[in-house]
Amino acid sequence: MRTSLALSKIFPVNKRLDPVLEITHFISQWVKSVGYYPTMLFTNVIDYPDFQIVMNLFKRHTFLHRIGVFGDDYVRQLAHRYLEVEISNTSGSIDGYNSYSSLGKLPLMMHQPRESGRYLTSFITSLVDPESGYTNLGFYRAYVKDVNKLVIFMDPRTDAHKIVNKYYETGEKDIPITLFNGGPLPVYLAAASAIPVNRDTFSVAASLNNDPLCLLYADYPAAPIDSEIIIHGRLCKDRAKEGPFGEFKGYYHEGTESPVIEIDEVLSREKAIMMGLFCGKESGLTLMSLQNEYMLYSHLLSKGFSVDNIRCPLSSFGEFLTLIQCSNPNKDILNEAMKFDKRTKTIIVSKNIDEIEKELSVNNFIVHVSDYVKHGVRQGNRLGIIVERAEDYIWSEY
Amino acid sequence: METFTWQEIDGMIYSIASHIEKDDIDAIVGISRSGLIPAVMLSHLLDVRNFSILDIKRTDSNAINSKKSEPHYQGLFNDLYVKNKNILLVDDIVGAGETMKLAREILNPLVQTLKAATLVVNESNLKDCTVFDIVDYCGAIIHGWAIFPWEGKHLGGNL
Repeated sequence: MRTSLALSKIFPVNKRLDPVLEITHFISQWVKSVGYYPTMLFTNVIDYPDFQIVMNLFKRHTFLHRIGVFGDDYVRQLAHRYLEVEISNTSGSIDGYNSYSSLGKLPLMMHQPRESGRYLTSFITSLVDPESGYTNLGFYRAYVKDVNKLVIFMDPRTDAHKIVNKYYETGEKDIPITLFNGGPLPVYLAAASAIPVNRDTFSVAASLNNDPLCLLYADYPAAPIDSEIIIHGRLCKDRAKEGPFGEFKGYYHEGTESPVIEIDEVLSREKAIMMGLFCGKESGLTLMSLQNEYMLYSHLLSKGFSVDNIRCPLSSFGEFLTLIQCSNPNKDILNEAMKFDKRTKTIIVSKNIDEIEKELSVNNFIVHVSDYVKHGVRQGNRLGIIVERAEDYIWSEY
Repeated sequence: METFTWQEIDGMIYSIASHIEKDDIDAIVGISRSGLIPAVMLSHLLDVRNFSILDIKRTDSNAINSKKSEPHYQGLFNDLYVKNKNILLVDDIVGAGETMKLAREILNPLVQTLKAATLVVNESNLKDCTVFDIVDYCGAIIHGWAIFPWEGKHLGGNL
């Protein structure tokens, strides 16, 4: 993360701001006035002089630059790393970290006025699958119930939820869990990705990084040794209410009854920079978009399809519109893509996705409609479009 | 090398202005040449109409990574707005901080209070000091050469 900071245009904010609502309010007003969201470093956080908070670090250009992926064909390069690069991670120890017994020292943020309180939105959850021994990483919102307890929401469709159930089935009551913030950016991309259960997420992160990661192994699931903050705890059978929470699509989720994490230890780097994540804004959507792009590309490649490029625009939350560019748009590619990515609502397959509105306006297209199913219930339709360039136009020059 | 867009310039100006109490500023001093552009933008945003120009010459050419000579004081214009006033001094970029240091040396004996702002700090050029040892307000921190939109490089030489 520190390397990425050095590659970024950092907009420092020295105003004294409270992590409870004031930072997100400042960002919101800023974006309304200026029209975009830069990477901001909040250096004067009320009540937390030992911490700075960086917001919106995941910009596509910086992210790809950091992991050594350059050029417009970054999806192909990421897919190549995901499918073909195998790298073993190393282990190490941390030195000079502050140790606390509770969350009270951390500048945890409340993001939206009607949320129930402070939330962890940018911490990666690390769990070990008791069957395979693989580490599973993921992003889950965690409500700060008090300084010793978090309530973590894991959607039943997620692998983490299934892993927790495996522990419960063996009679385990306290499941070791780690939440970490900061560290190498490829870990964030791997954690956001829908990795198959037969792969270790840290291994995928190393593949995407094209370089080994150094991990801290303790009595808890692993975390990168250069994390800014590491929380060790136990996921208990107790459940508690979390929510309302401001979802990435811009509305409040009413909340859930979810498992409680008892905090055992909090480690933070000297002069730590906590990475914040404002749900539904550029950083989170960029991660979602990148993972959708390279995972679908990898899948289509592994099924023998030749694809030039894939884009999941941030304007559609990085996941509800998928554009596939290939030299021969056809229904087989469309069907395979729709089968693989069930969240996306519209897929367009075309020879050119850079000017998709023009492609759709000038050329003929074929439409395929299927059911859009969410939580096992049909919600409406999904749309697949194959653009057919029947005529080879000679484009005018000016 | 970092290329800035006009939208990013707007953002940095907004950010600097949001840190400043405008009632605390009587006049703005822009360092010529490129400091004048953010200085004028700040004068509008903060509604400070008293404006002065401090001419300090530093670079010998417009080329990227061009060699810089010692900052050289050329003159102070509209100095009546400066004397015994609360001043905001503005430049476009701080590298090693030599220009800003000289500007402070020139203005400090004249003014009542002096605050300094810069759009950008190239942190990799700072030696034994932090950004806020040199300026009070900074729009962005980078690690490399900055290209600003008023240099016209994005226009691609199509004239």
